[in-house]
Amino acid sequence: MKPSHDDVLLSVQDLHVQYDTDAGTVYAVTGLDLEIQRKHTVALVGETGAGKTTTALSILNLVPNPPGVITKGTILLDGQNILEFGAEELQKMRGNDVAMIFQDPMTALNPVMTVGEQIAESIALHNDVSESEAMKRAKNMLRLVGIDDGRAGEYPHQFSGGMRQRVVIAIALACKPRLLIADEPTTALDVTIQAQQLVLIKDLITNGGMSMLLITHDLGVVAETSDDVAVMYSGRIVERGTTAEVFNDRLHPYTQGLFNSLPNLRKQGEELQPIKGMMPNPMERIVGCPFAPRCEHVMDRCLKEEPVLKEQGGTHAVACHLYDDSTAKDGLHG
Amino acid sequence: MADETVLQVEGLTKYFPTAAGLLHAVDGLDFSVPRGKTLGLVGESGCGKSTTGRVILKLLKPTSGRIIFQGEDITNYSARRMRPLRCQMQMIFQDPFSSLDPRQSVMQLISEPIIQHRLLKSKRDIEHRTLELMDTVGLASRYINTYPHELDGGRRQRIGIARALAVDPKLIVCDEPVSALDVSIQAQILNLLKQLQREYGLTYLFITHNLAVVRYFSDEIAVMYLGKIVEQAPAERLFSKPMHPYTKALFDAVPQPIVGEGRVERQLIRGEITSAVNLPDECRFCSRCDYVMDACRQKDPPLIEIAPGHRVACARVRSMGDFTIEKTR
Amino acid sequence: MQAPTIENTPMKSRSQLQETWRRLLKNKGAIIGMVFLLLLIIAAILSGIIFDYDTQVIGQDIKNRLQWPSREHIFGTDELGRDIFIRILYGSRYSLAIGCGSVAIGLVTGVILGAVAGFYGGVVDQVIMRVNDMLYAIPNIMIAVVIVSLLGTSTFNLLLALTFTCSTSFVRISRASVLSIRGMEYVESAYAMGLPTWKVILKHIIPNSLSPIIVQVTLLIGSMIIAASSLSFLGIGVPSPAPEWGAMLSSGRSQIRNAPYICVIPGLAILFTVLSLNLLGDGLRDALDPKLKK
Repeated sequence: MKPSHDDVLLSVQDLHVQYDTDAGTVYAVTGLDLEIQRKHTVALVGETGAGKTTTALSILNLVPNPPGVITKGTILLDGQNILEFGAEELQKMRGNDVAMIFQDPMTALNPVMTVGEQIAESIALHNDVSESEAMKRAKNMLRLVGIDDGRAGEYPHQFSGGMRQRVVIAIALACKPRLLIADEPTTALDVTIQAQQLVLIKDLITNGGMSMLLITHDLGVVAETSDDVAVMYSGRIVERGTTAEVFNDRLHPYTQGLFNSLPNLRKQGEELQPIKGMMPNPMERIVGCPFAPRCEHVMDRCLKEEPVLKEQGGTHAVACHLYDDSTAKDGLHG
Repeated sequence: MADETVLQVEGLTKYFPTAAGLLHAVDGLDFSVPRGKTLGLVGESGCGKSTTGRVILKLLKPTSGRIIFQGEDITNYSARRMRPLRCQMQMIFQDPFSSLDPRQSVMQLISEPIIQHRLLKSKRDIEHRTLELMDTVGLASRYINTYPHELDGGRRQRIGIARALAVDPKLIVCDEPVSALDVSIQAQILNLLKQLQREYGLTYLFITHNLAVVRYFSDEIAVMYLGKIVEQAPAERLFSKPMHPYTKALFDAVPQPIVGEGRVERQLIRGEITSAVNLPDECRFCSRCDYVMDACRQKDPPLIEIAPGHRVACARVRSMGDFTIEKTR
Repeated sequence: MQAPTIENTPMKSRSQLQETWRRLLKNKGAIIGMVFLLLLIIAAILSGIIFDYDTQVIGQDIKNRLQWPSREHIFGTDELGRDIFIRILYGSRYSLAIGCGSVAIGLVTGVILGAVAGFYGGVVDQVIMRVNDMLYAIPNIMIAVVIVSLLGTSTFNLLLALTFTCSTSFVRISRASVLSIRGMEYVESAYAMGLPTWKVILKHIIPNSLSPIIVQVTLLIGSMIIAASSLSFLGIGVPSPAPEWGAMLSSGRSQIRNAPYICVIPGLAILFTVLSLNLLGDGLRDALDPKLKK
């Protein structure tokens, strides 16, 4: 069941991003395809260095340049390629159509402005409203994220870590963006606060009819919040589908490895089964499947030919030679 | 011999003077760890768990209480008298990026404790031992001349473990040893630590905020909140019969990687951990607790044993036996 | 258990020092600075061997006074007929000696005081830093004037005066640097390993606090050369007839209308020397910055 064209809010096609550094070229994203449907939350899962954050920055066309260059690909937001946008259009898009929440709530706020002013600033930037109207809306936003609007005149240092993160969320959502990108929004917070924030973000997104791209390494967070999930490895997507499809029928050996690495909270674990080895060096051009050196099911073909994402029924797709029809038998049983 | 206690802590406190008042970072801890076992110390940031680890290793001076290590009261030992004992108690740090001196090579890093404690004299023996340690922690010998900045987090953490092992310790305090690592690397390091425990009969004090990790790793678990232990029990029992409302809240706060069948609805708690400055005499958790009652605000409840090895500090859990406690709000 | 160990050959690997050097060599400005300074150092050494001080450097030759640059005297001659080229080369000895000398003494005293203040904190820190602040607040020319008028004009007294200025800025930098390193986990790890305090300071804290200090050394040598020249220009630095660049500039003032080269050439010498030091300092700052790694 393919989503009809109108349902797709964001479509990233064949994205390549590289960083040209002193030591050589880092291939951060290599041929990434991603679709986000309206009112859906898509989780981008992967480990450090998989290219998750680079992908997010590309969507805002904010990849630091130099050293970063988007060398290839299109990013269509409602059918318009944002990589062709001029400076003015980009500024209009950022915050208004696409907003981003960063990892660290402590450094995302300006310490010398009151939180009310900071939310109002973002509203006034994208809407033609009076100062008092912007402040009124800012207070509204504060109430929405569960902060008493009487605190609008306070400074960030007067708020606790969790409250500051709520303010960051309020700023991001102040202009009712169509897409929210949340880059590890809860990683810096304690577990009990983390849970509260996730519920809050999820509620606001659902009520506002927004889409979200959630970047995380925490599979628990994914299960909690996302409709769809895309597993990233070494700059590309190796498996994607609805969360239920991917979590309950893990196809890619890397996805399987990730789940086997997790100690289980609900039962005392036997020996964990970590994935052996490390992610490949992003400075090297990879021939074949990037996961091949760590894969238990590696075949000759994996070392020569890079697998592409192939649909396996429904929206579930995987990039692995094990699921090529002709070789499926060999791989799984041999 | 099997039940021999390696570490015993009695009434341990550590206060820090701050501008706002006295910070009760650690406020009266009692626990002991038998040889070859692991005690997990769990809690959110600011609960005093890292301070506890540092006080036990005498990196910080305790305000009061006693620390007994292998039957020896080391509470008032000077830095000089502690030095020989450093061979027996070691620490693995949280951040593999800041816990290794960037100017030292792997060889220098691992051999530093060997040279400091004069465990081996000749250069050849030291190099031999370093290579042996690298092999033990699973670091290929070709990394011997590399520097930390050239290695990834997992390999760096292996260096940290090799450093701790170099002096052949009895007790290792692990302060969040895997929280800075990616899941797949995390599992490698956890397996390594567990294997080392089996091989060398190590005793661990395992400090973490990650409940799944602590369950995988510990024989006994103590849950800390604002400087105090609020619940302590053998791992299996704590997970099957958590009694303290905070323990339950912690369990529920961890998002589970399960979709569809087997998914459990969670109950979340409100509020945030406050700071441990100028605490009134009331239950430290009462402002966030769903089960709060008048008694909670009158006196900080003591830790009571409700079953063999299971201790809880909650006014609603009074004596031995099973309870179901009901929400009051 | 372990990642593939396909080759067991030891990894090629660079220490931080080698890494810094490699990155420094990528910086064109730093290379230009280093080359110029190297030439200057060679000139300083050779000029002491080749030229005779009494006849060629300060010996007067009134017949040939005020000659414009020519093939015979490539920088011309001054109002007393002395060859400016020889004097400039010879003068580099003063500039380098005073710059390096004052910075070296200031470095040792400043870093020790700053490290003690940063490491121990509390009252020790307060005393050292407040005294330091007081010295910092007095203009260095004033300190120099006081010292020189008390002890008399000599190269050594000038050096002493400049040392104060250097020392105060090293105290500040090394204190800040030690403070940040002291909180690192590897320092705690060294204590947990059983290292005594002095060893922790010597092996871990000082080597890691060096980067900002090294940068400051190069920049301060430049400022000290300027300060020494200014004091000589005012007549309270290196006493004449020594060919100190500042003093040469000063003595050429009266002839500035008909023989401007007497002033311009020592001025350019100061300019290029300080510029080279600053280029090198900037290069070092970038090369030592851990954030630029990779």
